Amino acid sequence: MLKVERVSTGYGPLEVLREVSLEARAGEIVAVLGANGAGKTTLMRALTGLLATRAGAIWLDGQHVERLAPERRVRLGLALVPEGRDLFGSLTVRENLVMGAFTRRASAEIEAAMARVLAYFPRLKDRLHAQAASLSGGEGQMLAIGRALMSQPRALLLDEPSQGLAPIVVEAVFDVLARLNRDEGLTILLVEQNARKALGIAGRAYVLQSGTVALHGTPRELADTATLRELYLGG
Amino acid sequence: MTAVLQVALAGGVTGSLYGLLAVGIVLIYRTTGVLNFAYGAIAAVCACFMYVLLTGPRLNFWLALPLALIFAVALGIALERLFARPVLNAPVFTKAIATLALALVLQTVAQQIWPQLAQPEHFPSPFEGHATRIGGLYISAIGVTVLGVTAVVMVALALFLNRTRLGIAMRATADNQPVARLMGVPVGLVFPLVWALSAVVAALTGILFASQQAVIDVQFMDPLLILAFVAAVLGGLESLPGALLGGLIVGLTDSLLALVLAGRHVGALDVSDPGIRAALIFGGFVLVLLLRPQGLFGQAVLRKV
Repeated sequence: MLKVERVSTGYGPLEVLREVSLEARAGEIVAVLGANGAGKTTLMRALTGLLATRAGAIWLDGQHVERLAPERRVRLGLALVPEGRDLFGSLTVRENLVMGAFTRRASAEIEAAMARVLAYFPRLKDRLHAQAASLSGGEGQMLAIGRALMSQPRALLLDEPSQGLAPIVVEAVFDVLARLNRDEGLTILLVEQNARKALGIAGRAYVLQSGTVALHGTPRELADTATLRELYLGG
Repeated sequence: MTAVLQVALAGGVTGSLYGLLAVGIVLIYRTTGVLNFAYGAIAAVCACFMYVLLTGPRLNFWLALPLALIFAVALGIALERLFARPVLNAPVFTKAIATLALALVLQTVAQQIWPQLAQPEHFPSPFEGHATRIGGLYISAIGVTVLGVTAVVMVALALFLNRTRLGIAMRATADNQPVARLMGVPVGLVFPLVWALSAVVAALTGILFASQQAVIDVQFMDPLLILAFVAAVLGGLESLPGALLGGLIVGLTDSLLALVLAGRHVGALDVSDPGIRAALIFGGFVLVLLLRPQGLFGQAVLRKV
């Protein structure tokens, strides 16, 4: 579904990712773990096209996408839930969702997508006409995920979905991700610092360290490695 | 009482012109982060084009108008491509200064192409000489037209920006450009659209103002531009209704000051002079900014553009 092959990129003279290769197969939940500055957000920016790659290839469903503009990649079925949610704060909840479906033209299709999103996140129903900036952290994360789902993606990318959320809200968010994956077969690639949470739902995981893939495997395999325990699971 | 109403009406009409310009300025600033000091020149060039159509091939006013608006769309798109896009990522101040240069270029080029417009020329319009009396109030045809066009432009802009997919996309781009791109918004198409839209508003304002004065030259919008900026900043540089309201406040203040100060002297100083009025308005503006740096209707002092 989504395949990254020896991708290198960075900012100016700074090389942040060095020959990173990873893969999320159709219907999989894949976690990318790593400390601050390991290159997780840079990887997301490269995947979505906000940052150009310097070398390597990105495949979506067997198609080269590394040279495509972000909007083209959305059309091909890639959607991102950005770090810190990044809502359109001055727009209403409904308008945020409508923007998520910008690549869809038929209004019946958009209404259907919205009904599906609201079924997953019933709390947004009461807030449809509220300004997005007025939402709580949890509601904001639900809206950010809902907005990404509006484009009916084949692969959903999430950048630190647990960031800044209360544990009970994190629980709810991961629960919805697991349901989306189980019920609809949605492919999910999530980047997380909260390794324990991410490994809880992921089928496979990669560990980024200083811009390269240091480890990868199933959660069970990774949990056994001393490095991961020391670094991310708090011993 | 009638005198006050009459003055208020005049103030409302001039204020609407300031307001329309301010709306165009805010539209560009919010979406592309360009504080556009060339906006008056854009309005003037479009109105000059209209003048040339009216006096050269002697087109009918209502035939020339759509052609002038199409010209405005083309000018807006051209300016976005040739001017705004190359400086897109420059700091706000750099872009603002660059628009000053753009204003000069536009005026110089217009003067080269239409040398007759270096001097004030008569601008013919169907509104000229038409007026009516309601109660004791004297109402000119152009005055009614200005108020009507302002109302239509505001309602149309509000409907477009709040109800259409493209309008919402424009606001989303203004709010958060990288994320708008992630949603699949072709930002490269949204920017020219904003420039075209605001150029149309500029052209309408220029043509209305030229019709009101019945006189036009290449620089005739310059005095309006400064007061339009005052209006835009009063409105907080954020909201379109705020910009219009700012324009109305400036227009009404100017008219009422003219009424109050008419024929008065302070010592040897003739305070009914328009220059004194302008000084008072700018003084008041500075005072307002000292008390409310975010403008009368603005919410935040700084915003990410």
